[in-house]
Amino acid sequence: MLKNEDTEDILIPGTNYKLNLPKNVNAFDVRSHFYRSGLNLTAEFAWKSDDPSFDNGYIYHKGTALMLSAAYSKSGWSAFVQAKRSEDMAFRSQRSMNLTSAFINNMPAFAYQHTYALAALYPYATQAAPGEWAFQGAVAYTFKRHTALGGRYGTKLRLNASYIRGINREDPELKYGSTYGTDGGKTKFFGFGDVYYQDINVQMEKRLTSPFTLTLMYMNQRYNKTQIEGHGGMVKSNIYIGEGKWKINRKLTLRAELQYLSTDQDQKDWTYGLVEFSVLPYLMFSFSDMWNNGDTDIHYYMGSVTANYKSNRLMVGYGRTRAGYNCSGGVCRYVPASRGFQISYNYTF
Amino acid sequence: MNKILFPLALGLTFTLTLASCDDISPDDRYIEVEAIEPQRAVLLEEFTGQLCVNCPLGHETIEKLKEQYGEALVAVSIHAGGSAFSIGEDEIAGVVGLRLDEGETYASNAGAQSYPSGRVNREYSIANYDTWGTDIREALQQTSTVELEASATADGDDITIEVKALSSSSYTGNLQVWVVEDGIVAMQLQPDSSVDLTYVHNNVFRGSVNGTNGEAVSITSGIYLTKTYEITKKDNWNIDNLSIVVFLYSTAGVENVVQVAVENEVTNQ
Repeated sequence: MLKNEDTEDILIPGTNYKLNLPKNVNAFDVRSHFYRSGLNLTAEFAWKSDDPSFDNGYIYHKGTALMLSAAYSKSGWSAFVQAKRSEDMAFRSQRSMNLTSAFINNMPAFAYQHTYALAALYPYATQAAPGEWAFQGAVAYTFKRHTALGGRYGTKLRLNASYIRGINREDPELKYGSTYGTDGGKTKFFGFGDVYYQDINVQMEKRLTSPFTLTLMYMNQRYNKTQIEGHGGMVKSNIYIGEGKWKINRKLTLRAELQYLSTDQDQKDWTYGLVEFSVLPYLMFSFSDMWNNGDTDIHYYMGSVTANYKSNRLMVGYGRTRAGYNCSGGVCRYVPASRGFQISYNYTF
Repeated sequence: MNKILFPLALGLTFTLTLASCDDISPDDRYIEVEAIEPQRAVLLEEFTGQLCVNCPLGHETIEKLKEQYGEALVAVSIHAGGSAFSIGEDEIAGVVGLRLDEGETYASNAGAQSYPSGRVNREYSIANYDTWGTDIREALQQTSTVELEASATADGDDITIEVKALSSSSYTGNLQVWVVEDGIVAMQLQPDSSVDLTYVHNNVFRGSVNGTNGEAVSITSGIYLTKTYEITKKDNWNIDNLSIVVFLYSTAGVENVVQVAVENEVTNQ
């Protein structure tokens, strides 16, 4: 891959020198994959030529990313483990951009993607520019039906862990009082920096009766809010989640969630409740409330009705939304807290 | 075997060719540009915060630019970003906070979404600190039809500000007068996430004298516009570190700006 960008003037602050920026930035990626008898091995390497940008302090340094992954599955259980090291791999179409815009490459977060609201309250975002060491693993096991731990219908157990640290970097030698135009600080391959994110969670899904399934989850999380969001310190939290799903009959399903996040940092404790009533195949009614009972005492409630018909999906709702990032059409924008009606329509073709 | 070797060799050659392109050696990374002679003064509004770890980098950039351009660059650091990035003036007992509601208004009007960010002369887009130097250099080379003068004297807690503007052609816009303070010792988060409790904040926006958006003015060619303002020093201001920033702006941007220190008559006696 080759990125061509017209040079823009980047002056060294306080001097009459501007950077001689490369017009072309080259990048490539190679991947190999091996599969046999349930064992899956993947190795991937990506490389990027000098790409001085706001992300990296306008240093002339080649970016690299190396990922190794191993997965094994057999009847009743599966396991996988991954390790990744990336450095200076923020690759944007405009070098002076920041926040979440204009990325050419995709570096997904090397952490379990949670769907439960409070488990996803502090989502990790890949630190592409400074780089990171990331490890991820999971083990899943299904206790068979009619066994002591499996019960009448079987029990699924899953353990996930993610651990991400920065890369230790020496202070760079400055030129004209700035990092602009230098090679950047030296790093060692196994030089680990600060903890950016840590997440250990265990999930159990058990069908208690024919129509009723219970899911329980416990999660311990460490989230470096200063590194990821630019402020806020290290947020350490314990999260407890329970979900019940009751299939009343062939057409009616009732689902409820209750979640609690306990932390002494940031906005402190949160409680979340959700009730969802589905009338198959067309309608779904839901009501949820995310309550910041630890600090602000604000309720972020949401009531909605969703209708599905063939390829059409229409959602109408009213509620209060927390501030955050809304991503659509490849662009992410900061959205302030809001309250009001929401309508969304999707058509699949 | 040849079916694998040939494409593999082709791929490797292509990759190595890509890898060798556009490498710029350390000796060729800097291009000298001609020093400029400022034709007018320009205003840099920096949006910053005490809880923003990268904001000291913005402050550092401002100091370097001020050293380079002297009085031609007027920089004002406006603390904003809510409680995520800054501390309100009376928000936490015993903690010196620098954020004002007016500052939040300016940040919102400018479209500040990340911190630190800044805009030059209300003419250039709000940007990261890497492009401030480029925008300032360009703005300094433009001329202005308006000459601005200001003076500020303090007698005890009373401050008198006098502004004079003369234009070579008629000008319609807004006149804005701000109070700015240097040398405020207060906490600041650092890029390594440590807290510096004795950080010295400079160019801090302390409030506007004549309304958040200033006042509408119309200057007739060749005729002086004069304005006088009387304000009272707030308890948390240090008279000896205060300065007044005066600028004229319209939808086209800031026409001209001037910064003068408040002369303390008590100290001068």
